[in-house]
Amino acid sequence: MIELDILTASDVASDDAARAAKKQPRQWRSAADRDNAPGYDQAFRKREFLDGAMGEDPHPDRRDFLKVMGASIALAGITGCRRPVEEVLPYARKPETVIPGIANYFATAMPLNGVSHALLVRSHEGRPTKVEGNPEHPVSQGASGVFAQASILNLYDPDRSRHARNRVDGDMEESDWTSFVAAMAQVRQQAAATSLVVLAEPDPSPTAARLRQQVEDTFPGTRWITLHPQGDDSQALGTQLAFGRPLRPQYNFSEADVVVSFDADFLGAEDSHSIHNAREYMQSRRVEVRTTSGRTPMSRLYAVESTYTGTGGMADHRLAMKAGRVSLFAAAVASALGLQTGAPQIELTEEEAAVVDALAGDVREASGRAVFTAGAAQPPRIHALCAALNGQFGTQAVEYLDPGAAPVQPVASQLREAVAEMSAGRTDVLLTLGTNPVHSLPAELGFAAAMQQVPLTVHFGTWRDETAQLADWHVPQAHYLESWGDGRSYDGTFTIVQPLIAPLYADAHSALEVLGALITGRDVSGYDLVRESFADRVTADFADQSFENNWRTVLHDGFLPGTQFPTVPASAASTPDLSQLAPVNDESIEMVVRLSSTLYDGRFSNNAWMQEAPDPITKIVWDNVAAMSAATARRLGVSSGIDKQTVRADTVTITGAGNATVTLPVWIQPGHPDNSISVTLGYGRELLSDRVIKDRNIIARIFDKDVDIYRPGPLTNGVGSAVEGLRSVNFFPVMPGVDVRKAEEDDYRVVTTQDHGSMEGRDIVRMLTAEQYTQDPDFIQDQIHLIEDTPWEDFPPLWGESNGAQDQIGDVMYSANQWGMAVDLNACHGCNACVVACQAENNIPVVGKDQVGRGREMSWMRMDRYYVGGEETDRPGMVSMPMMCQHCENAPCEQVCPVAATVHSPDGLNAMIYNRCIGTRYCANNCPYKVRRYNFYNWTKTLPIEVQMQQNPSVTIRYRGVMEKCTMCIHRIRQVQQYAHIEDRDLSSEDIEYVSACQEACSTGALVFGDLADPDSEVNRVKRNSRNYALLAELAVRPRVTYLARLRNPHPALVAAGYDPFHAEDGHHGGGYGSEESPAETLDV
Amino acid sequence: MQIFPRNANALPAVSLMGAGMGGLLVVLLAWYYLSPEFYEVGYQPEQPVPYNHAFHAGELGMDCRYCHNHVEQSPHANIPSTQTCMNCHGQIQTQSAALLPVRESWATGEPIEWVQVTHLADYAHFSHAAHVNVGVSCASCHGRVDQMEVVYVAEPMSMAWCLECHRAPAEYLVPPEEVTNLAYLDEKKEDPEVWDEYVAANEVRIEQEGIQPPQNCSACHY
Repeated sequence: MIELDILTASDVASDDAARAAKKQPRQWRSAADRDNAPGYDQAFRKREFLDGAMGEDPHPDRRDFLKVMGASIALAGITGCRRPVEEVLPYARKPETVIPGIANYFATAMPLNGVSHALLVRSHEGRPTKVEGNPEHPVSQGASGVFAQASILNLYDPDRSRHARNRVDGDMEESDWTSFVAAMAQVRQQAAATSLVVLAEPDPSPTAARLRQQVEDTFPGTRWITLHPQGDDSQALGTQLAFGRPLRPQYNFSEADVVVSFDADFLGAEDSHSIHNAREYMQSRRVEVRTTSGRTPMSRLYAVESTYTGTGGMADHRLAMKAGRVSLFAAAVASALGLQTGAPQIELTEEEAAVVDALAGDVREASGRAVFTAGAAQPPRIHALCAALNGQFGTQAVEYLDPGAAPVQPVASQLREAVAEMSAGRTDVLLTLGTNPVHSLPAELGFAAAMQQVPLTVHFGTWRDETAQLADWHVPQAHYLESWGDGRSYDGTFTIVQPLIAPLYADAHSALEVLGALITGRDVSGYDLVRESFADRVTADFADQSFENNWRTVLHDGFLPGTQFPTVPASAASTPDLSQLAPVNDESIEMVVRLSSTLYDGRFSNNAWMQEAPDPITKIVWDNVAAMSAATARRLGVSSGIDKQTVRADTVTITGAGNATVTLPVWIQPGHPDNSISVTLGYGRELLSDRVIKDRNIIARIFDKDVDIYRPGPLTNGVGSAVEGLRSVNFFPVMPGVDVRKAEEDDYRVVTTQDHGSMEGRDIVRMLTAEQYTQDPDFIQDQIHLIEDTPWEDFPPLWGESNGAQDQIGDVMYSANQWGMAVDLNACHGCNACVVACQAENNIPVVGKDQVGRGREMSWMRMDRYYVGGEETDRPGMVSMPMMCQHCENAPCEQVCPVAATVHSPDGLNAMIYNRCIGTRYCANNCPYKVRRYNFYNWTKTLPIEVQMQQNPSVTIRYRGVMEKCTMCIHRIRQVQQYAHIEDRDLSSEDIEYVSACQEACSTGALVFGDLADPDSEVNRVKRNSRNYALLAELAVRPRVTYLARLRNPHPALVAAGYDPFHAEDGHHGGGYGSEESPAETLDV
Repeated sequence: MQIFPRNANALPAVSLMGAGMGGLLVVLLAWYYLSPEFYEVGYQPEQPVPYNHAFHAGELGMDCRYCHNHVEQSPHANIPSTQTCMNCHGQIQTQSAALLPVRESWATGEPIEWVQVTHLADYAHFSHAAHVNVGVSCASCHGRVDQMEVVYVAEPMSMAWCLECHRAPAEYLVPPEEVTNLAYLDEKKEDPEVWDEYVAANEVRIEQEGIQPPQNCSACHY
């Protein structure tokens, strides 16, 4: 047994001193942590766990006790019953390709906001269970984003609409698809005289485009409006300004030396091309690769942002300012680079002027290797400006793809005209195609009232949402895994959507089929429609004219290679006129509405994984908030504080366009610009569900507390408040002046995981600059501090060559491979894809807001986010760190388990044997990384049957009272080991036949899993890097997971001027653990 | 006054002994009745179709893998689809009343609802492919199915029972091509000398082929 000194306050204080001497900034988790707010130490830092994660729920009273005891006696009599009879149902006619017990994989694609994402989906006996990227597809290359990972749970959403419905005498009554088709046939008979309004979501499908043309031909009075979640596609409008037609920018960041982001979260999952962007950007940050190819060691990212994003966290220099001012700042940057736009001048602060200087210098030096990007909160003109800047300075790194799209119009005038027509009763038929305009359109349009004036309204969508409840017809939308379709990836590659399962509900159909019914008045199958479109493609494009051969090939591959959009050089862009750009009133409060990083525009709002996935920045779950800076909160007279380990926030009422109001809790966000409020879409939904919620049986009512998140009805109902209606129809994302007042409620419980699992204020994430690294590759190793006078040689690695442990274990099965993982912090921007992938793969339960608030979240992987420095300026840097079981060789958890339920496997994994666990939770107490999760309740037992269908049959379902944690996807490892054994061969690390779910989902290659016993393995290659360090190495637990230090590339002039939060001055060093500084006056969290 | 007779003095001793014996009895009863040897072995449910393994696999000599055809590739030894039954019974015994559920299933496409006989705990991961391909006979776990008219559980399927073989594989291994020859080990065991030779030969094979049945927890529990 290893006995180690524990770190005392004086050890940590000396660490603090050493850190200060080296000018390393402090890492902090929340504003309360930074300020040493009263109670923070006791509530989080010095507590390993939250109170809820330590003990029972409060107040188990005498009554409950008697109930349980009485029931126990009553039930004792029936324990003699035999186990229930289980039945095995084989196929009557077995499909040739299905082998029970062996998963099949099919290529398909997920359409999201007008872009197709190529996927490879795993199916167990016809039941899709997991989504991965398509490894052969040029964009995906095997990676998938967080939304693709979560999309499979939308298929099994128990609250999906199950029936077509028709309004009869004012009530929506169950109908069916055939009746709907008949109704459409009637509409079609008067096609020539019908005035039709279609509100459609952006669709990447060429077939849908063809059908749209047919609709417009059949119904001459068609007004077709494509509604983006953010209203307009400002990127398309902007490129149209610059090039004369809508294009798509393709940023090849790997070629870039300087990247400038104007409020663009290009790495965030909400970006349609984020997989490509993240992969390319991280390429430009790989110093080892870039220096060997004779380039500058690392690209430099300047981010100018109106809220904190993951991209801002990756930035070398980050400025925070209001969204309106970002536009003017972009113009100032352009003029510093000699591009005259006629935009109103703004007065730059000293820091901003210094940044503009440094940036302009870098851009000129980069000679064609600079990239300028603009975000969704920027008006089209700024997108055009970026195109012009790219045309001058970024020709080597940016090109534009030409999708051949029709010219786009701003959506505002289209919507106004449509609503006016509808109100005047001049519209005969309204069709909402995958959209939910009653909820998502600005309240000032008065859409719901106008809709009542339309004689026939048809809603097509996944849920019985707000629009469905007002429509005359409702048709359930089939999930993409249930329907035939096609699409174009961001780069134009033609992809196929093939179903993996028949629609769970017979009435569910695809958008193509609804359009088909409208055009023909008959029931047209989506399969035929897609094949028709594909037939045109075959005759046009191929040498082999055989249709079936080509069709089968494209189904197998999921895409057609070589079908990318043609490119247009950036240099063709013209410079926009920005003289109409509105000046910014610094004092008025601006509201910026964004797509949620977890719920998107609300289409993931009934998805339990996404509700519980902490926001990448705020780490808030199950809620939306009004994020603002500390100064703005002071101005509004609001605050939030910690009471009993929970954030208690004031609320504010925001009055937006058309006097629509919403009340939201206050969230004080470090690094947020002043006089600006950030809110996210997708909350405050009111869905109707067809699900029958069963009463709990008597045993459950007596024994189990009701913690079933699915019981109250649709998950999303009552979560957060809707901000969609507050937006202005002119420009959806930004409202320059809103009225914000403190609301009555001052005790709103916001649940965030940002302070959970504190590691006592130690410096967890190591960082260094590219310059330090190139000059002294071993720089980071100096930061490893081992406790002196500890006999480290007594703790050799268990699996090394020169110790006795190996002999004790002997040469047993599986010991030939030694698994480990390396995490490159330099490539991680905290997008959550791995977290959700892990949840999907390992049947990890979702526990709900209240239980997360008690510290009982179950996610095996968590994404720790630390703010760095900037304590006084409120402009901290940010780092993200994926954290999961470290699979320590000297695992502290194993040493305290009284029943040996957690033990080491011969291949070096820290295994958790669920059936042995008796739930002492000693292991979690002894885990220095706080990665063990305990089943306080039987979360899985109450899952609706639909959700159970998602579960992975290779992973054991855990019962109440059992500890669980990351297994490194041991079920995948054991599977390949067994087949290697059967085939009598060694596992090869060259063809990667075994990857963990998190690594598979990661687009940047930040997570590398592999065999440590193989010197040529990728994981060993990565671990040989001198940036490699083990977390809390001083504990001698010898983790198998190690981290590669984060690299940064700040501009030397800006560092010298003191504008780098990562580079702490002596005086800036805040009080860490154990310091006795007086707490701040007001408590900001 | 004497309330208790003299022999009541023995009462404490007797009741102590009684309690001890009673406790022992409870332990012994639990030992026996709560063990898989009691409650698993012998489970013999009635099937919707009275399929006779003794006739098909025994008398007719059909190979196990004719019906359980994915046992060498998959973790599961599959229950045959109705189609497999109909390969033969589309031509013979076509009027049999006992086969009515099979014909119904074939006509409607609805599966036959067979009752699961052998049951392994959900937290134990077992792969048929990993065992059958190295030479663990079907009979080692399922018994002499070729002699069972109605299949029953022959072995306890407990962890201790699994480990008996994993610790001493030489007494259980058969040549991989003989895994479906259910009588193979029984025949070897008939003559002690042959058996000793056989085990010794197996020891050599285990050494040569590097057969190491895993005994660590994580081989099966994850």
